[in-house]
Amino acid sequence: MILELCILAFYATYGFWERSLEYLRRSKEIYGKVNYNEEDCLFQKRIEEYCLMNKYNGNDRISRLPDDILYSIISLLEVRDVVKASVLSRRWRYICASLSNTNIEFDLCKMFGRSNNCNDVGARLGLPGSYNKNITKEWLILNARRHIEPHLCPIVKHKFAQTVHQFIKLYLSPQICSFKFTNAVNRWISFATRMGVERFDLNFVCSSHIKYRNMYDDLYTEASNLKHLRVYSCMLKPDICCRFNTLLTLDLNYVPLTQGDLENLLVVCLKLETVMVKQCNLPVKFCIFGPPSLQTVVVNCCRGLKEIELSAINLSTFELTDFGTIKISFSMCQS
Amino acid sequence: MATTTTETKMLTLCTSDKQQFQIEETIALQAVTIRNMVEDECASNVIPLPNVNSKIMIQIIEYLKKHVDSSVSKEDMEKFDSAFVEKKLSEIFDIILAANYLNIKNLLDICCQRVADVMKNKSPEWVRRTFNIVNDFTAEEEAKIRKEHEWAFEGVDED
Repeated sequence: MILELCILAFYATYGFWERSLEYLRRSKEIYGKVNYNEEDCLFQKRIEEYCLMNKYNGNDRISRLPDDILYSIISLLEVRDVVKASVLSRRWRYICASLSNTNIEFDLCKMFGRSNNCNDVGARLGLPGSYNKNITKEWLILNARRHIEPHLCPIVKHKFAQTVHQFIKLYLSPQICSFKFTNAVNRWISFATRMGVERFDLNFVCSSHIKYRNMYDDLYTEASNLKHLRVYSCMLKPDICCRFNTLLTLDLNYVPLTQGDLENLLVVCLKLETVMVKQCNLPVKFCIFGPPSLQTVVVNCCRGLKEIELSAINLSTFELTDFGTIKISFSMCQS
Repeated sequence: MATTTTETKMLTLCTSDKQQFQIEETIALQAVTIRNMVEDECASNVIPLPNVNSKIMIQIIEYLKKHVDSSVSKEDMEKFDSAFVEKKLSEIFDIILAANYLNIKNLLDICCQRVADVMKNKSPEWVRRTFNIVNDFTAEEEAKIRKEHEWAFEGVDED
């Protein structure tokens, strides 16, 4: 998944540079000999030549800075300024589109001014590791909390969702954007999974009422790099074939679980180390049959719970916070 | 820091315009590039820095001297940093390139932050003028991006 994206990103960039390289070859006599052997040198030259080709102003020092430095400058900008930077020139457009190793924060207040009384609305998108060098730190937090004033809700929400869509479109090359989406969050999640994220926070808590959202199919089927999953107010759909085989931490909050839900989910989490179940509606008898890697289980203030059955060979920590009396049975637990 | 009993070790740095700077080793070693050169023993007495001129070197030494001093409080250091980057943009770019070459991360960070601050909440036209960026988009291309991201262009600071 990452590799695919990486290649596409490369194409996007190289498609662009290719043209200037072509110019460069043609105009070799004019601009003197260029060292084609050393990649870095060539890249730098290409930038310089490209600037010359396009009659870049000699005083445009910022555009001639190395990519790494431009990345670090852009990563210090807020998402709104990143979008504005992408319209400066082609060079900036491509730098912005291949932004690396940064977290982009979608914060409603910062995006639409501070007059809206909606401090808590924000979606954070952390964009993945560098597209050309190391692709190790892919992670993404998508946190769409909705503590908005009710009368603002529909308009702001719509505008906000639109904005995130467009930003994702800006970030990716057109090839990747060609798949279809049915709703806003689904689209973000598809984006995230295709970027090979390792950490995912899904938060659907509304201040006024708790509404459970269905978990998204893409997250189940595409998230092949996911290591940490935290879910608030979501329905699990464990009947779908999951690909959670890299998952290390599963953190469920306000998730209604029926008998068998978690069991079905745990079967595919072969590397899972930590399970946390907090404030969830649970069945009367709750069973955790963990993989051998499972070390920590936390059950915190769950409703409906009367009995827990635990089975995990290497379990080292078990935490239970509850008010009622609960019968706990351990099997296959060494310590 | 060198103690009083041992002699302070000095390094000589030679800039692109052949100026020589004698500075204490502890100060110079904050630059990772110089540290690597010293550790690898590829530099004898004089360390050549062909990518830095003397004008920029003076400023970088000023920065390094302050940052090697552990008695300076965090607050004062921040004050120093913010005063240090109050320079013309052309100088900031020179320092960025030098800091990048010498591998002085903090210095690079504060300079990048300075550039980012300049761009903050400004219209693209203003940014282009300020940095002399030539717009190589066609009118249609630019209009398309602007239309798609209309929200970002609303309510920017006055030029």
